[in-house]
Amino acid sequence: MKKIMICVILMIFWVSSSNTISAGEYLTYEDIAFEKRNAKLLRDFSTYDYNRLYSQLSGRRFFGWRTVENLSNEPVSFKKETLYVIVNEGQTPIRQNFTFKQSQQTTRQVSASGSIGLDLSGEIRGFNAGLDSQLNTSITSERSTMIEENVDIHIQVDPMTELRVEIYGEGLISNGVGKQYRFFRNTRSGGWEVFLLQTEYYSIIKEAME
Amino acid sequence: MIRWVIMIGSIVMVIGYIAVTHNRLKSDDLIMLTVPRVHSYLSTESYKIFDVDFIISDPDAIYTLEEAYESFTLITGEQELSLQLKALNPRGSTKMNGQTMYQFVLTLRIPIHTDNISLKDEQAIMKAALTNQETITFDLGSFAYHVINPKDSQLSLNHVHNIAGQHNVGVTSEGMMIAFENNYDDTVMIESITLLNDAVTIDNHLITSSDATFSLDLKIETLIDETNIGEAIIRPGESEQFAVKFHFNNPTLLYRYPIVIDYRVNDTVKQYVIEDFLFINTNPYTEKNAPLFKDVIIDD
Repeated sequence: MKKIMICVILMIFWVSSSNTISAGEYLTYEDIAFEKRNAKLLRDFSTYDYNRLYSQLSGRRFFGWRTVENLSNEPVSFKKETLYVIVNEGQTPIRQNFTFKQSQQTTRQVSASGSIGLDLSGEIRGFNAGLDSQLNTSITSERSTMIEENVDIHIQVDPMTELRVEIYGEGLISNGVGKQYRFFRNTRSGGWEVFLLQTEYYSIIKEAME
Repeated sequence: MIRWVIMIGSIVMVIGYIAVTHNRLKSDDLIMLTVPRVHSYLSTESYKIFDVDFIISDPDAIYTLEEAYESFTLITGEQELSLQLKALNPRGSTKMNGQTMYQFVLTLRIPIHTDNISLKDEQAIMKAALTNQETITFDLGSFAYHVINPKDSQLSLNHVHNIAGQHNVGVTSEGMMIAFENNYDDTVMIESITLLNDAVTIDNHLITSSDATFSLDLKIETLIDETNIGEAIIRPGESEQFAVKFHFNNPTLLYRYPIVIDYRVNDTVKQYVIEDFLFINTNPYTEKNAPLFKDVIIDD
């Protein structure tokens, strides 16, 4: 009975983890758009996509990874959350000093699906089980961080208006699938994705409150 | 047995010698670079904080330690101004020509001034004195700092979107879309827009009304039709968006800037000011920007 229970729990865990995404922060952005038509994020891969890419992998190996790329440093643009909002519900203009602080973010973010996991131990996240070392060096080399950005600005906010700072940006996406082998036995498989943040653009928007 | 001991001892000594020599060579070959750019700051209060960044090949060198710095002086032409160091922070690493370079950011404070001041220089430098008696010099590029006390205005900002491009250098600002609402009872005419730094000029005759919707792929050239430029006016109670193109004397980088708008209403010239704002947040140490890199000069 005990063994059956353990098997059921393991099955539930395996099913729930098979195609779920361990996500980088970039997947929380409001909108991500590729320049290239038909390009897609790992989270949008269908079973057909996985099967198509798995079929491109070379044969089994004694020890290590087999990987295949679907996208290689493909340009994307995105819109992020609103960074800062000042609301003036009063009857007179206010001149307010606002400081927004960009929290630290790595310019290299990763996501994985299936049994490929993320290594969350370091300051900069990577894939576990040595997958990083198998990927194209241009994907893995950039490991810089964009650290807290202090922006002080003194600006007039009119009555019944709100002022906000919106973030747009550009980056590069690489993704694909991989399988890890140990003694010719497939031990891990799934999708991987690397997002390299290149530039963020901040816009000041002031609108009447509804 | 003795022969083996001598042989192993010799190998250890050779390896030790190579390691020591290699380390010495490494410290002699220190690379420290900065990217001069357009610095333009406008304060409506009495002080301003700004950043100067650099990359260095050795992340443990003395120049990466906040406590190693004694004083900072901004030199713009004939003028010298003491700066206060607020912080020195690492900003990660990047690979250049196969070598890992470590980026650091000096956050500096321009001290308190009670009167309006204006500092301008196309080739400003910053000297830093270290506790070890060394002086290091950063080429800042063009530098402008102004203190302006804003006046009340019935002109109301709707939005500012930066328009970026990559002409000759990496990503930089090449223009903006700016929109206002006119709350006066009379028509407002935009007379001039300036970013307060002579390295960036704006042809005020080319400030164009535009109904374009902002997107990252907008190009400033496509927003301005030089054969069909009307007056830059805003009718009473209405809003208007303008496309503004920036011109640069030399290839440079512009990420952060203030905006000063002189406008005419009821036959009076008035001013609307927006403090410097960071419109682009990016890593300037890229291959495309390499021609702009300058050595940080170290003097004993």
